[in-house]
Amino acid sequence: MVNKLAARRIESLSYAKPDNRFMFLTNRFDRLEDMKTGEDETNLMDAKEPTRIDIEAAYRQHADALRWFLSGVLRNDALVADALQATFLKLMQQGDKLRDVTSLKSWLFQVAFNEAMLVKRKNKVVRDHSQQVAWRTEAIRKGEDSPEESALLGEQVEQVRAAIEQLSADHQMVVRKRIYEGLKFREIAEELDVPLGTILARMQSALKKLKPFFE
Amino acid sequence: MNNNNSNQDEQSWDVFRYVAEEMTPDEEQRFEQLLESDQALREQVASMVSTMAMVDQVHATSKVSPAIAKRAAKLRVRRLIVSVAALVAIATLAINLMPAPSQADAETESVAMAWAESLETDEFELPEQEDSFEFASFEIESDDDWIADVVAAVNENNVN
Repeated sequence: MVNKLAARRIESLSYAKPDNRFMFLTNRFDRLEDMKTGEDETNLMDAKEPTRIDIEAAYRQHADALRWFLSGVLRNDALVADALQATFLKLMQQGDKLRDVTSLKSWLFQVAFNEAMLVKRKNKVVRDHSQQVAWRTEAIRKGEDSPEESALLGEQVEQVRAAIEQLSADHQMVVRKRIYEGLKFREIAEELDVPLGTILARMQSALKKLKPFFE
Repeated sequence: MNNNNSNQDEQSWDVFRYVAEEMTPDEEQRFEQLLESDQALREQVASMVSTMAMVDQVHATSKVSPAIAKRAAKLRVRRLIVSVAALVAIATLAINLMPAPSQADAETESVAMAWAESLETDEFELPEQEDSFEFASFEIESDDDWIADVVAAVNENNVN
């Protein structure tokens, strides 16, 4: 059950046709048949081989944050999927060198960043705004693996909505135009006939209201 | 404490600008050099992206808030007033720039009219058939009455 879940998660990452890397991952998970489920999330050591990192647990714990991070760097959901897959492949290949799980998160982020830079250099993609909203929406959708996660996400969205509604109309308008409609600050300033500095100040002020959500 | 807060705000602003692609290529390169070694900064990028995604969800799942709708309506009215005022100003300017009819033009017109009136219409006979059309010709009366009429018309205008 655990291995099928792991395989489904990995499979959902890739938009590309299955390749050798993907087959290697699924085979690897097939060998972890006796892995326990429901154990303490912080225990990332493999139950069968205590000196090795538990890949599945590491994935459960860190994949979402890694996906957000990669989305911020790459801004393309297909490239994010490739980089995320490459990151966990590296973990499988080099995970036995890691003895200290407290540094695992940092190690994963480091590897993810390196993979992202490699991918970014290879793929100079110019994206329009509708695609930017699409990749953020896709990233949020990928995080909804269960009804509980969907409910939690819904609650967070409502909290963000409440925070936005506390802003003045002018500030709300800038947030909507910059983030959702994708206009650049200069374009917003021209449209609203307001100095650029004022628009920037409104956005910074709005970010302070949203601070609890990203810090 | 205040310094820490303002440093954090500045960092958050840079993170937002990076994720929103508001940085210049040089700024982006420098920021990515920081990302190479700063785990806290990497986690901030992750959080910022997820926050922006939630903001997208807020706007995608709701109509424009009443506050924004009211503000947008005020902006539309203001733009309309400015457009109308600009049109009125342009029209006024155009009218003022149109040249007034000059005195010489008025005199020329009255001479032409007087000459036209002095001609007797029956002096022009159009040919009955096109084939035999020749330019109509007429004989000017030798007594020069038409000249007198023209001069009289000009004098009348000057008096008026």
